[in-house]
Amino acid sequence: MLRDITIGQYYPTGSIIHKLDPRVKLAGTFLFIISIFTFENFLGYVVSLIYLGTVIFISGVPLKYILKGVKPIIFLIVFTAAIHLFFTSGDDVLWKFYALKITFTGLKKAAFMVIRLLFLITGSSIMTYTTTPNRLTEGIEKSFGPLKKLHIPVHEFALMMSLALRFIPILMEEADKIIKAQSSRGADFEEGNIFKKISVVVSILIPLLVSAMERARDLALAMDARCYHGGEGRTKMKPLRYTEKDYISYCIIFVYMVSSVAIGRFI
Amino acid sequence: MIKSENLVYEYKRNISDNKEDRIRVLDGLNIDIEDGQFISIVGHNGSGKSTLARHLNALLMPTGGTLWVNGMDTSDENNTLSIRQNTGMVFQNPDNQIVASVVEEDVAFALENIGVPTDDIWRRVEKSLATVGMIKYREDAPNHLSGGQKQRIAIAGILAMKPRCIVLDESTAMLDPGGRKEVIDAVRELNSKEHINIILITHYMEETIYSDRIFVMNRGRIVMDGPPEHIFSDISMLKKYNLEAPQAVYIADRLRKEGFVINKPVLSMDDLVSVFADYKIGVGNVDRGKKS
Repeated sequence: MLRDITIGQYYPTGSIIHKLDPRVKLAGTFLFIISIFTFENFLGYVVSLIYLGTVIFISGVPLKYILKGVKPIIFLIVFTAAIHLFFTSGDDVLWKFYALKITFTGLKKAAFMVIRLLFLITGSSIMTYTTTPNRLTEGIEKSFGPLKKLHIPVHEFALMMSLALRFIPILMEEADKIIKAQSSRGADFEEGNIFKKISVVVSILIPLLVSAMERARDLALAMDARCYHGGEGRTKMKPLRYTEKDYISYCIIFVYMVSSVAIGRFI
Repeated sequence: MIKSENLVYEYKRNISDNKEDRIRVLDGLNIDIEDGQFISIVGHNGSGKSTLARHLNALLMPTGGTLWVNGMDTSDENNTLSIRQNTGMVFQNPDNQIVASVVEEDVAFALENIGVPTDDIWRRVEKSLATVGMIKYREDAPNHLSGGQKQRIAIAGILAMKPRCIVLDESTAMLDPGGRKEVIDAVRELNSKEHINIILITHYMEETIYSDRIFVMNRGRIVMDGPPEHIFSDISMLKKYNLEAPQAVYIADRLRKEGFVINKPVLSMDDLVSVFADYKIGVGNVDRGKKS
């Protein structure tokens, strides 16, 4: 049962969005998020909505799936909206009840916040739905490559990420086995109060941690044996290469940025 | 190709705060392995066989004496990378040595490390996957494969480096009998077709019968050295080192003691079957051949 969990939520449909270079998608998502925080009127969001809707439509990922990502943060959205709604000061009071008051500015601010958060989540989830975790890691490594000059270990971080992704299913399987082993010795995962439950979880976590350490040691040795000596002088089997569609996408992103910010700020 | 002179490896262990204990794992080994040979190293737990394997790949450096791999001194750090290219190593746990989430990318890992150009990587990955018979799984995720298949991928990953020697450090210990056969068949083929030196470290005596030479290790020393027929001719000696001869050898030995005349060396079950077949057609003394 634990094995079915996938990290990164990749949803393969084989669309053109899926085939784009991960760097394009990273840049696109990043710029999109910046754009939605610069708007000062609702027209900007209309442009963003059209843009986002088109991308979702082309990607072929069902809308239901994308909205599922919003669910865990509904509370956060409501909370932020409430704060903005009730605690924004202004003269244009619409409704007043003792210390609580709703102003027109507050209403506008709250609406902006809700839209921004919704767009933030859907915009970034469309990236994870269309990019495999490994491609994403490669994209991050390549995009942040220049930071190597500042002695930031970009390659090492990227490698750590991809190794972690590789070992997730293995550790899941292991956890499954440990749970079975502990239940067969009488550990009860269902009953008892919260403290009892925590102590039972510890009986899974400690063996899991020990085995993860052992695996890490083995893996380090195996990598050493296969001539791993850091990122220097490494070549790639599947290097990231831009193709025509990536350049076109960059142009589309640029056009979106200019038009949406122009509309959102100055009209 | 692999030669050692008085190879010693020891490490320190703290017994109490200011007392140290020196543990000698390898105790003055002198080995000389020629190119293209299939060598098996056996020995019970703690005999130093895995430590020896790790020296061959410069994962460990001798604390005394010298080891040359392909003429290169392993204690010189400038040689480390070329020694590791030359001598690949397959480990025990199939899961813990696979680096990538896609089979072909894992095979490419070593090539990426040594800086082979991209086009070359593709060619060499394809060739070595084909050699171990795993080409149709090239785009699969390794966690869906069996243990034997994972070990074959590990072998392919080494093969892509074009090594002259492959060390298998108890690589069959965690596999089922089918997986063990897969791996042994794969390395035997590499040995006979590509003339790659194979050094097989194992607990399973049945796997050693195809080798050119067997080293028996005990307490950091090589105590027996010779072809399988020679090693398995003395079961009592093997017993002394806590080792069991293959079942077929054992049966043949018992039969000889019962008075059967078996002239050929018997190592595998196939040998034994052919001996029995000879009895059936009346080559040996038939009268006692019915019960056994």
